[in-house]
Amino acid sequence: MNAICPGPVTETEMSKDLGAELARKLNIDKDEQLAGFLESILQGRGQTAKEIAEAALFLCSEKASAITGQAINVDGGAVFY
Amino acid sequence: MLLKDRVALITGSGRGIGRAIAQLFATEGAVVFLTARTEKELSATAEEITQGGGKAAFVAGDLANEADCRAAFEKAVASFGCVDILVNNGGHYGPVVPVEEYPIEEFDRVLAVHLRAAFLLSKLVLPGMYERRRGVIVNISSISAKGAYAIQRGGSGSQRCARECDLSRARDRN
Repeated sequence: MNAICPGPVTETEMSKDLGAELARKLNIDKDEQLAGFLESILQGRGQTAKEIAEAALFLCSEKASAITGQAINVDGGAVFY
Repeated sequence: MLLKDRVALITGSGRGIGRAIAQLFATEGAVVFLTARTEKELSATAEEITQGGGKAAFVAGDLANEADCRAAFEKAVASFGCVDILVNNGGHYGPVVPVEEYPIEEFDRVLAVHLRAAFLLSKLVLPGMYERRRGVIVNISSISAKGAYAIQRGGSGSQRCARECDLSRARDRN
């Protein structure tokens, strides 16, 4: 049993809605809000749904047989703990 | 193939991350059972998987509803015999407002979808996993469970964290 903590998966509707809502609250343009957030990430970009799926595939396969109880960040270097 | 003939129940799988997981798992040989609220998206995802040579079935339901969680599990078992992999991916977040403005009804719904549904489904799949001495549960959370942001998705960050913590504490016997 494990967990994945994705960063901003910018292609999903949930992520787009959240970004737009945050931009409204902060009274800035949504592209500007997104650019600011992505800049704070080590890789400087969001993740794709496929990249999150690849991590899930690994965790569900025999290759992850010794991994349990972990919350793994798949976030391009957004947080480091 | 990394998941040959494994049966995977994936929540929130009509679009976004859940859909990508379902598609990828199917290409790796898994048999996938999909559930989400929007039947049209489930049907499109299942059809795409089937056309690609994979095996998929689905049921529409609301994870905030205990009966729908049970129905998803039971239909997955009825369709494919068991559940080897549970991916608790379905999510809901309410308004983006500071904690003091967050409506308690929305907070309850976020908890119901992220935490309670993940717990219920885990409770349903675990006996079979223990019996077969095989099984995996993966919860899709968020870095918002770990980071601190000025305007939070109210309960979302905190509850997703709770989802990780509570479930990852469960004993893994396999």
